[in-house]
Amino acid sequence: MVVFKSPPSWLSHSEFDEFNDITYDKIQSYTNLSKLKRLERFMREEGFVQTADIARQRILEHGGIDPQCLEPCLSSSEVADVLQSIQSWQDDIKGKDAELQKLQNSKSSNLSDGASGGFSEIRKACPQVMESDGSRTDGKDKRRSKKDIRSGREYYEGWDQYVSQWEKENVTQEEIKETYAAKSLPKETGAQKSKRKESTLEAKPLIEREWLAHREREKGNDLFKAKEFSSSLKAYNRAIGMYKDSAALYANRAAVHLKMNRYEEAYADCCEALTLEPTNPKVLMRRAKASLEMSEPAKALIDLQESLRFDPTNEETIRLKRNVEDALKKNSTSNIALPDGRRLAIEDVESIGSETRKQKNLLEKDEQEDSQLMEDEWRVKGNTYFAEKNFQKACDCYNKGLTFAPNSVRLLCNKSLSELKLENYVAAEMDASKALAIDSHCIKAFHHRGLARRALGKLEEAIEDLQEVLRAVPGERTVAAELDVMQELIDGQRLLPKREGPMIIEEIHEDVAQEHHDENIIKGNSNHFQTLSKHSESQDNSLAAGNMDAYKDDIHGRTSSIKGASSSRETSSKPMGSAEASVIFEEACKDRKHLQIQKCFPAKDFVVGRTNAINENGHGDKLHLQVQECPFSEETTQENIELGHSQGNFCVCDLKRRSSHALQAKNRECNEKQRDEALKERLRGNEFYNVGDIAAAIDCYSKSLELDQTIAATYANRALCHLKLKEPAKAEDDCTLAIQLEPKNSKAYFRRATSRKEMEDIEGALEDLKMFLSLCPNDKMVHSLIKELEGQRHRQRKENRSNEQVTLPYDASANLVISSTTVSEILENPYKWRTSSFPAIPRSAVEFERSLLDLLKQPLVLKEYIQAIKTNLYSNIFKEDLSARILKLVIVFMKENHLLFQCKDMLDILQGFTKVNRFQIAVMLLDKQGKEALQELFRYLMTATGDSAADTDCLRCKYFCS
Amino acid sequence: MVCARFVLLGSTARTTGTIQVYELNGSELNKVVESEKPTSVKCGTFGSSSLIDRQLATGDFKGNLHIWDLEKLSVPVFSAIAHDSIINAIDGCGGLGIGYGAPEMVTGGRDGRVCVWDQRQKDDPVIAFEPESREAARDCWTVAFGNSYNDEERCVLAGYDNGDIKLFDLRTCNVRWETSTDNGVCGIQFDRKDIKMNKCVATTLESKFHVFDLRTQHPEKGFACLTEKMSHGSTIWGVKHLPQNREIFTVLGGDGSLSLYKYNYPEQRSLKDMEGKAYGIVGKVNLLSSAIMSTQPINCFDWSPDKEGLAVMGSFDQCVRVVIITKLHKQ
Repeated sequence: MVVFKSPPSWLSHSEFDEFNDITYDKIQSYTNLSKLKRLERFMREEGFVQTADIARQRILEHGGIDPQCLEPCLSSSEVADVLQSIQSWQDDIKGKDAELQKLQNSKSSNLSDGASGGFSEIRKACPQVMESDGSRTDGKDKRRSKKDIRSGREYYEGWDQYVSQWEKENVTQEEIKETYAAKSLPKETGAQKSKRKESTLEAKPLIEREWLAHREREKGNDLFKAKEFSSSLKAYNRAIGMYKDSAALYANRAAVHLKMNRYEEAYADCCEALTLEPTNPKVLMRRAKASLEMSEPAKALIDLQESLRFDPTNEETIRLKRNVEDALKKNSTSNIALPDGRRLAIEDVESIGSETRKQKNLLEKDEQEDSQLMEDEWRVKGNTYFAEKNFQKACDCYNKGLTFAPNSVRLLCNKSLSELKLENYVAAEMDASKALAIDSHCIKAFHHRGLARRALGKLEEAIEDLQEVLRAVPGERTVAAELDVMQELIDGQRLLPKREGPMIIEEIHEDVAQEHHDENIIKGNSNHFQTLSKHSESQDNSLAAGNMDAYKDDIHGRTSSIKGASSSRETSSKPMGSAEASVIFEEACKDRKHLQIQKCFPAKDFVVGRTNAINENGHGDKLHLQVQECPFSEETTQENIELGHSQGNFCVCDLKRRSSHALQAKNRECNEKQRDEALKERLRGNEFYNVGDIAAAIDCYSKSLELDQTIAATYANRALCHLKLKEPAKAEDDCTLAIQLEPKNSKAYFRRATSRKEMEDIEGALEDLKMFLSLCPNDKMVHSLIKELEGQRHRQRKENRSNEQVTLPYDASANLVISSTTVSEILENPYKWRTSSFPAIPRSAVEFERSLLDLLKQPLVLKEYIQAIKTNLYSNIFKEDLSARILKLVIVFMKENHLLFQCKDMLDILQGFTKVNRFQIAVMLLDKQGKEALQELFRYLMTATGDSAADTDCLRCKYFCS
Repeated sequence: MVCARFVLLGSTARTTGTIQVYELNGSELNKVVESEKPTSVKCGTFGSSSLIDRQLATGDFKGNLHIWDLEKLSVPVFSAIAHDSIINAIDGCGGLGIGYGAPEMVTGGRDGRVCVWDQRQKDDPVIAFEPESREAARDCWTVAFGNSYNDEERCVLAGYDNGDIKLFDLRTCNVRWETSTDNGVCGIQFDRKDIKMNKCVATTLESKFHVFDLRTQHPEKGFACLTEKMSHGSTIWGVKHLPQNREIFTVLGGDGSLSLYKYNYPEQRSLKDMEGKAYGIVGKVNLLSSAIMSTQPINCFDWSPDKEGLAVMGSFDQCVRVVIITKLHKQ
């Protein structure tokens, strides 16, 4: 039984404490299977088998796998497969083996011919080299002390020298003169060395090289997995150098090149691999990737199509294909004006693609016509139901439609939407995914899937989907708003779990970014308002008014921020929109007294946002259209149109203002630029951080701070980096700066707390954490952290107190013995002292002997150690292994330190040994010194015991001691 | 080794040594060669022989180091008196295309010495690391080569019966690092011989094994270490890394169990301390699977370098078993 003093690596401190005072009821209250498993393992390893069994019972009750039954089992078919694979491998290997044996035979027969004479000569020459170095001592003096070891470097150098000589000797057959000149060279140059390697490689037979290459490839794979790309590349290079005909080698090297952003090399490698194995879908995909990065999407597309032909289910390929197609589209639309050869080629490819597609469509059309008719019918029916808000029926209609045309994207899309409305999110997601599998460009499907996933809580995937929508329809503002809201949610989510492990850098939007951000949020709010205002119209006004008040406050805050944003925007090149916004907001604030207008206010805001966009694009006439789109009552639309008009006026004002402020603006622009750059640096820093390059991230943050010292976020981020690098002092400084700039930056507080904790400034850390809690009161992590810290503080205080009170646990006689270890030493390092004073009770003779030898110089400790072992356990410990040596050591020790022991104890020990197996032999084999010590010991014991001398005498007989 | 054969070394009832070569044939084993030697053979390796020659280096109970040609087992190719008594462990490097540099063997003996041998230099070890006094000599139980990533660099790990682990650097010829575990070290192995030191696993009596991250050495703290305790409570006899994936290794249990572990790297492998010195961070090990193969301890085990998952193992119940471990590539 081993009792853990500290938790094993797989157990957290809190759980360790919890498990240490576990009760039956507690076990019964657990439902978490993995926790139960940990408990089971912990108890079993600690030796509490019964507790472990209870935990195991609990696991079984909850349907978990029996932890005692780790033994894997294979089904019979799998076993057959395995045997088959071994059989085929054996057949495969036999051929190679035979080849090797042939080689071996030919070599050994050549041996006498002197073909490998070089090898045998090495053996003779090697010592010669050593002798000439003068470092070789006489052969008899084999055993040298550690310091006198012959240097390995000398040996290796000698060997190198020899090889170079040998090489030169080979050359001599052609050019004798050169050799003599070169002999004086002590070392090979690098070039010579590499040549030697190559030549030795070439000399190796193909099969051996293949084997070696295989090994190098495995090495490369390992390194690739460990993300050590450059060394993995080296391994692959070596492998290819040895064996050129393996497609897998090239394919792997291509993957490494891709990771290292060397696309041209990757492309070349893929080509090589494909000449050897033309149908590898992975390689095709890699080549496509490379060519996409080299901005040749046309080639990429061909490769991808080929790859999909061999492996149609590879998701990565499908995704890549979509990207490529997007890129192609962009190219063909944006670059018509610059037609060079490459672009033309792309267009050709695409047109061919579309032509073939058309032909296919024509062929299939006839067959599909009937089913399409039915499908259309059901779809229309479903749509009408949907419009009537009878979603269940709509869903049924779509289902029926799908039976006729299971691949209809539109049907699937619509169905997913109605499922969404029915709050059946899983089905909605599935349908949308199906639709996407059929048509990977269906934006609607992406949108629906995004919504469904959002509702299911798969935020990240939802974001991906919505981003896809945005990519296709960049103007879709509602989606953008949704996306932003989700991004925020996700950031919020990340905060909690990630803090436990590595902290992640959260981006803090400000200034330029903030503007867009706020706009989006307001838009999101306006959506809320849309529903809310409708609500209030239909219901009683008074109720709605309450709600409105809540929103009012919110909006107020937003408007002020927008105002700030717009004032900063004035300096930018397009100041009109925001200037208008500010004026309109002011107007809106005035009007807010009227409930009617309050309702419209967000709508206004919404429209204003849109009009801004339009104004900036210089399409004033679209304004009316936009306004009409706004889904409000006529009254509000009217008002908005009026607003639009008024904007026209403001435009004029603005133009004037702009000219007057031109100079001022320039100055500000400079500042803006600097700030922009600072922001860029920070973003770069974040990227570096995410990649894991902390040092580079710190550099970036520092640069950013040089440019703009007013951003608390940058300080906070740099602090996090310092924390990561275990530089809590620097981190603390940065946090302090960040807090000075922004006293409500909760992250800065948390990070300062962490750094202070690292520096063991527990009071400071607690203070910071409390500040953090006052800012974000719902953080459970921090609550537990505070508890932990308070516990630590408590313990620290206790320790300080107990340290003061420590008295030596040994008596005066002990002091003499351990005089070398002073009191202060013990106080400084109590743990060390404790461990060295009490080694574990031995389990075997070997262990006992080891501890005995280790402790011989610390008699007091050794005495305690020996006494700690119960004498009746001796036979268990020593079993058959009691040797004369051990016995002698114990006896000599007792003789020399008999004053430390009480007579009774010594007798007990001696008595204990007599019961061990092979005791008699051990005694008989005692050497002279041992026997003398024994005699002396008994003499002492006889005199000391006096009364019970009979027992001693009896013992003495057992020890054959006259 | 490009063949489906393995070598069995051991001792007969008359305390003579035996070398046997078996060939795997379907689900049967055929004895191809058998030869009796005057003293019991304790350990052997192919590590320093070339792929073509496939010569076996063995250490026996009398401290002799022999190299045998498996075709002609009657006379050793090379012979030296390496140690006073038993050669406990042997490892080879530089042959088989594993590692660079000269083909060398390292032996660890009961006399506490660790000697490096080159077949081309007779009688004398190339380098010998010895205890300072003969009285305080501890049994060297296990040795392993590693860090042989170019022609100069090479390291030897040695584990002793008192729980010491020493890392000898053969280039600078000194003790690069040493540490002590609680119990005698029975088995030790680098995850790969022919790369820069990455990590090693050391197994001990009393069912603990330690994983050291050898990538970053801190001047004071040394290497980062992870200690894992197994539940069976008996000696862990050895550790063998899968040649096809260095993150996976088996440990040989004293209760006859074979446990498969996977090492997972931490997110960052090294950090800097307050003074800017880098120190390593150790990852975690996961038990993938465990199975009882024998009622007696399993004391030796070897993976096939060619076929992933194929392995041979010997146990104190005097059986040799060929096992296949499936689904390794899925880990």
